[in-house]
Amino acid sequence: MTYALVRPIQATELRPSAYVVRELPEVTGVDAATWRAHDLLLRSRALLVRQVALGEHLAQLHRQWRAETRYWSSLEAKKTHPAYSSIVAMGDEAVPLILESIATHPDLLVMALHDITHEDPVTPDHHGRLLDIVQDWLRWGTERGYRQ
Amino acid sequence: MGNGAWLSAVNDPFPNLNGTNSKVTSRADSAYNCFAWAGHYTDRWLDPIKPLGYWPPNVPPRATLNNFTKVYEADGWSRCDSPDVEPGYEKIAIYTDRRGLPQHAARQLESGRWTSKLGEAEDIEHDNLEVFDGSIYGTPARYMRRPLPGNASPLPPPQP
Repeated sequence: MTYALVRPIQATELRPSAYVVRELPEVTGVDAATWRAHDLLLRSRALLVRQVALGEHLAQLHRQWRAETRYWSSLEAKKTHPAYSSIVAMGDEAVPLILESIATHPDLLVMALHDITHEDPVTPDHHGRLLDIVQDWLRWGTERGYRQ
Repeated sequence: MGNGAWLSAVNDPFPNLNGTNSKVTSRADSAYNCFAWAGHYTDRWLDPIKPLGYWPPNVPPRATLNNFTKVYEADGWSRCDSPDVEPGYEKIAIYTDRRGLPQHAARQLESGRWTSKLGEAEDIEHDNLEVFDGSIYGTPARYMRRPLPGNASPLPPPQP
């Protein structure tokens, strides 16, 4: 019988890309039913729950970062705050959540998108202008499929 | 805008700031910082970290006192010795921390009082530069001045 084990790489890395279909030692292949199970898992309630948890985690870090750096005028200093580092460490999973956040509340959190993705969709004439920078990133997010 | 609720939030980072020596003059706005506000800009975050910050291309992209001085000089400000009121001029005070790095800038009003943007938070008007003593902003390290509109320096006399 052909079968496979579907599981996250690590319990703490419960993100879609972390789910893999691993073949057991005797397995010669993975059948279609297993791949369907894998796809179902990626759309499962467990991942929706994780998305909600990630959103809450990001919101908590964002609140902490804003509160504790509210009076700072140096972007370099703001980027060294531990809460900001934690946001960046969330990686690609945080991208759609940050885009959703800045779409409704334009905020300096937008700079985390650059630190996560290492991309720069901001046109030079928009440098320094928060609202224009947010719009450039929202356009980027739509083009890359992160948002509708 | 009243002085009630916000004071409880800022008293800790600014132990010398209170409702007697200052008042809030705007809503919080993340679109600009103190360095922009000191230079009369409310549409940008003046900082060398791009792309969120705006920084003139001809100034080295490091947030040092000398580089901020160059940024303001490009806008017509020049160094001066004191924060004292000089008729016909407005002034900027740049605060630095113990490392000598700029953390804040305030601008003098014609009345002699000062105006500051507190990071992402509100603009305030304050009696003097000492209201930030003991705060995260450090102490004033450099003063700059610029003729007020309508008070441009007279042209030098023609050479014989």
